[in-house]
Amino acid sequence: MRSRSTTIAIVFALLALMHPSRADEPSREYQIKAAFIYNFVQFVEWPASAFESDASPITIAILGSNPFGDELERVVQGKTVNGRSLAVRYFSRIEEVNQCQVLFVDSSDQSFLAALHDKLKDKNVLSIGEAEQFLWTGGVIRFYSEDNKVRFEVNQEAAEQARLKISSKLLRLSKIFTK
Amino acid sequence: MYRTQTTIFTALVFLCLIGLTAVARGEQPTTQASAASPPANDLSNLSLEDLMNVEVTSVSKKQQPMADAPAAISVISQDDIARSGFSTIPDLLRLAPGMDVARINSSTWAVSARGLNDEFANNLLVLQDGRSLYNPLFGGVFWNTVDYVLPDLDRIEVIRGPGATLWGANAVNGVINITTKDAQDTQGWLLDSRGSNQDSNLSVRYGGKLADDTYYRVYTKASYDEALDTSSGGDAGDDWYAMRGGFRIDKHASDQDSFTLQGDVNEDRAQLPTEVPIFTPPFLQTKTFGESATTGNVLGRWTHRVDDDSDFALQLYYDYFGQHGPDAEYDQHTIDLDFHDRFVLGERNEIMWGFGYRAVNSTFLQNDQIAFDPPTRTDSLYNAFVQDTITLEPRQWFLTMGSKFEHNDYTGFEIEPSVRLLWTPNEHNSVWAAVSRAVRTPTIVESDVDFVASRFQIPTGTGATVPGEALLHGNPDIQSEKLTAYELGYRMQPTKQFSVDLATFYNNYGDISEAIPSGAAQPGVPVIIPLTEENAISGDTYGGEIASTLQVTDAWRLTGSYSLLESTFFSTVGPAAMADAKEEQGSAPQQQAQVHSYWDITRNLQLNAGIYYTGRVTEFDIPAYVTTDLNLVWQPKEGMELKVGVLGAFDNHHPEYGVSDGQGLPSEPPRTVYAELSYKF
Repeated sequence: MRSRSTTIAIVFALLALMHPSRADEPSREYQIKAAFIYNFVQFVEWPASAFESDASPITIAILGSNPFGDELERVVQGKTVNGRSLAVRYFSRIEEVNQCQVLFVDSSDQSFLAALHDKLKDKNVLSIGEAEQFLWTGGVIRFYSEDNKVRFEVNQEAAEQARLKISSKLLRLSKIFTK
Repeated sequence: MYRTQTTIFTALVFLCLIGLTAVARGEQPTTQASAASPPANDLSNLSLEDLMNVEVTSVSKKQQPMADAPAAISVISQDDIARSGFSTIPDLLRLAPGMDVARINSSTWAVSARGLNDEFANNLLVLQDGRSLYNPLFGGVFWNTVDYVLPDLDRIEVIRGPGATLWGANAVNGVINITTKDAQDTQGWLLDSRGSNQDSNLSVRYGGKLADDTYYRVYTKASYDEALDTSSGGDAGDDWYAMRGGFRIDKHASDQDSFTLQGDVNEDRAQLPTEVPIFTPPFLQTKTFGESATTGNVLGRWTHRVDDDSDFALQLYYDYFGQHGPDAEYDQHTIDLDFHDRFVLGERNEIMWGFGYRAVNSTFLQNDQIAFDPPTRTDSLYNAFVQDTITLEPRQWFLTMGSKFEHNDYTGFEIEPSVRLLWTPNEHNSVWAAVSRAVRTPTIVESDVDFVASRFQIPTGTGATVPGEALLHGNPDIQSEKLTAYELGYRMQPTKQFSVDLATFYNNYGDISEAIPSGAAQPGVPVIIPLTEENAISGDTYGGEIASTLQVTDAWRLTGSYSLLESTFFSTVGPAAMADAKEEQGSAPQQQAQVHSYWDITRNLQLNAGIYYTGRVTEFDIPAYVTTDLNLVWQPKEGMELKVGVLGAFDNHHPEYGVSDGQGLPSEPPRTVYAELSYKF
C-alpha cells in the first residue's frame, strides 16, 4: 500500500519536473515567430542612412502589446548581424516610434495601422504584422499560418519604398503580396 | 496506521517539492534572459527552411511532409541523429521502425527491411543526394563506404516496401534516401569529434559564401573502428579506418532556379578475417585480408521551379568505386543522367514523369578463387516513368498510379507498376492501400562469376582421395527476381500529442536466385562439382510495423515501434534449393521492437534513452538480443555540444549476424562507452 502511494507521488513529482510552468514564456507560436524575425534581419539589407552610426545596433521594436514575452531578447542576445549587435525596444504609442529598423505590430485596427504606416513612410523600417489587412495598409511582412505552420507574405512595393533590400532567398520562401 | 501516516508524509513532501519546483520554474525565464548561454533547442539556430517546417504545436521535431503519403514512410531527422549514440549511417538506420540492421564485422553490416537480409541484401535501394549507392556487382551496399559528417546530414528517409515505380529496379523491399544539408545551412566552422572504447572519429567542415546566393562547404572526416570482439571476448582482428572528404556548392540563382554541385572521395582500409577453401582438412583456412576501397563521385543538379505546382530537375553524376585487396580487385565507373518533371493537369491530376540513362563500366582481376567472364563489361540502363495522382474527391480520396519502364542488359525490359489509394476522411485519420510490382535485376556476380565455393577431398574406392572443388558458374540467362506487394496502412493522430502509424504488407516473391548444384561431377584434378545460379525459390512474407509518438509534456517525448515478419520460402527446383529456401526464411528476425525517450531536462541539457529488441535469426542461429543507448547531451554555450553515453549496457558483446556460405568470420559489437564534442563557430 505504502509503496504504491509513494510511487504515485514520485510519478507526479517527476511529471511536474518535466512539465515546467510556462506562465512567463511566450507560446510556441511566438517562439517560432521570434526566430523568424531574427532570420529576417539576416536577409534584409538596410541603407546606411537607417542607422545613426556604424556602431548602432539593429533595433527590433515592438509596438503595443507584446506577445513575445522576453523571447526576442533571448533570441538576439549576444548575436550580431553584418557586424551590428541586435537590440530590442518596446513602444506603447505610435508617437514614440523612432530609431528602429524592425517594428512588430500586434494590432488589427485598420486606422491605427494606416496611421502607423503613414508615419513610417520615409523611414527605413521593416514593419512586421499579423493582421489580415497589414500589407494593404503598407506593411512589409505579414505572418500567417498554414497547416499548423508559420508562413509569411512580403509586400515588395512597401519594401522598395522603405529602401530595404530583401534577399531573393527570403522571397523564394515567402508568398508575394499583390494588391 | 503508522504506514498511512508515512504515506501522507511522503506525499506532502513531494507536494512541497512540486510547489518549489513550480516556483523555481516560474522564475526561470527572467534568469534565463540574463544568462549568457542560450538553450539547446534554440529555434533561432534553425534556418528559414527549417523554421517553415516547424509545427506551431509540435508533436515532434520531425518534419512530416509525407504524413499523408500512401506508403510506409519514416524519417530519421537530424534531431534523431543528434540524440543517438550511433556513429555510422547503417547503425542509425536502426532508428527507423522495421529496419533490420545487424553488424557483421567492424566494417560490414546486413541491412534490410521486411526480410531477405544478408551482408549484400540486394532488395534495398539506397541513395545519397540522388546518387545510387546500390552496387551492381553483388547487388547490395558496401556500408563501409557510406558515411558523412553526421551533423551535416539533413535527414534519412526510409520507405519500407517497394518504391520501384519512382526509383526503379532493386527498390524491392525498401528505399533509403540519405540527404545532406544545403550548403547555405552549413556556414562557418564545425568541429565534430567522437571517442570511445570502440571507435573514434574527427570531422572538420567549413562553409562559406562564394557570391550572393552561392554557398559552399568543404569537409574532411577521419574515422577509426577498433576490431570488434570474438564470441569469447577476444580481439576479432577486423579493425577498420577510413578517410573522407568532399564539398557541396549550392547556388540559389533566382526564385526559380537552383544549382547544386557536390563531390566526395573516400578511402577505406579494413582487416577482414575470412575463411578460404583449401584442399586439406579442415578444408577452410582463416586468413585476414587487408581490403581497401576507394570511391569518388561528382554530382550536378539543376532544379527549376515553374510555380508552386510545377518543377523539374536535371541531374548528372559520375561515380567511381574501386575495391583492392587479395580477395577482390575491381574498378567500376558509373555515369548517370536523370530528369524528372512534375506538373498539374486540369483540376484533378498531378503528373510526374521522367527518364534516365546509366552506363556502368566494370573491370575485374581474377585470382585463385574468383574470376569473371567477361573480365570487363559495360552495361547500359535506360528508364522512363510516369505517375498520375488523381484527386477523386478533394481532400478525401486520392489515387496514384504509374509505372517505371526499364531496359537493362541482363533481362531486357522490366515494367514496375503500382496503384496507391489514399483516403483521409478527416485530419486525424488516413488510410492507404497499395499494390505494386518490383524487380531485383541480376548482379554481375550472378551472371558472370566463376567462384570456388568450397574445396574438399573425395574418397575413391581404393581408400585414397582426390581433391575436389565446388565451382559456382554465373548464369547469363538468369531472370530478375519479382515481387508483387500488397500493402495496407492506417495513420491516426487523435491529438497533437499522440500519433500512431500502422503499415501492413503481404509480399509474394518469385524467381529468387540461388547457387544450386547443376549436373554431374566433372572428372579431373581437382574433380569439379558444378554449381549454377538459378531462379530457384519462391515465397511469401507478411507482417507489419506499428510506430507511435507520444509527446508526454513539452519537454518529454516517447516514441516506439514494433515489427512482425512471417516468411515462407520454398524451392521450385526440388531438393537442390531446399536448404537455400530455409536460409532465406530465417535470414531476418521475426520480431523487433524499440522504445525511445527524449527528455529536455533543461533548455541546454537532454537525456536520451533507447532500448532495442531484435528476435532470433535462425539462419545463423543468432539468439535474440536486447541492446540499449543511453546518453546525456549538454550545451555549455551556443554551438557547442557535449554528449556522453553508453551503447549496449546489458552485455559485454553479442553476435548480430553471420556470413553466408562460410566466406567470413563474423564478430560481435562490444559495449561502447562514448563521448562526443561538437563545436560550431
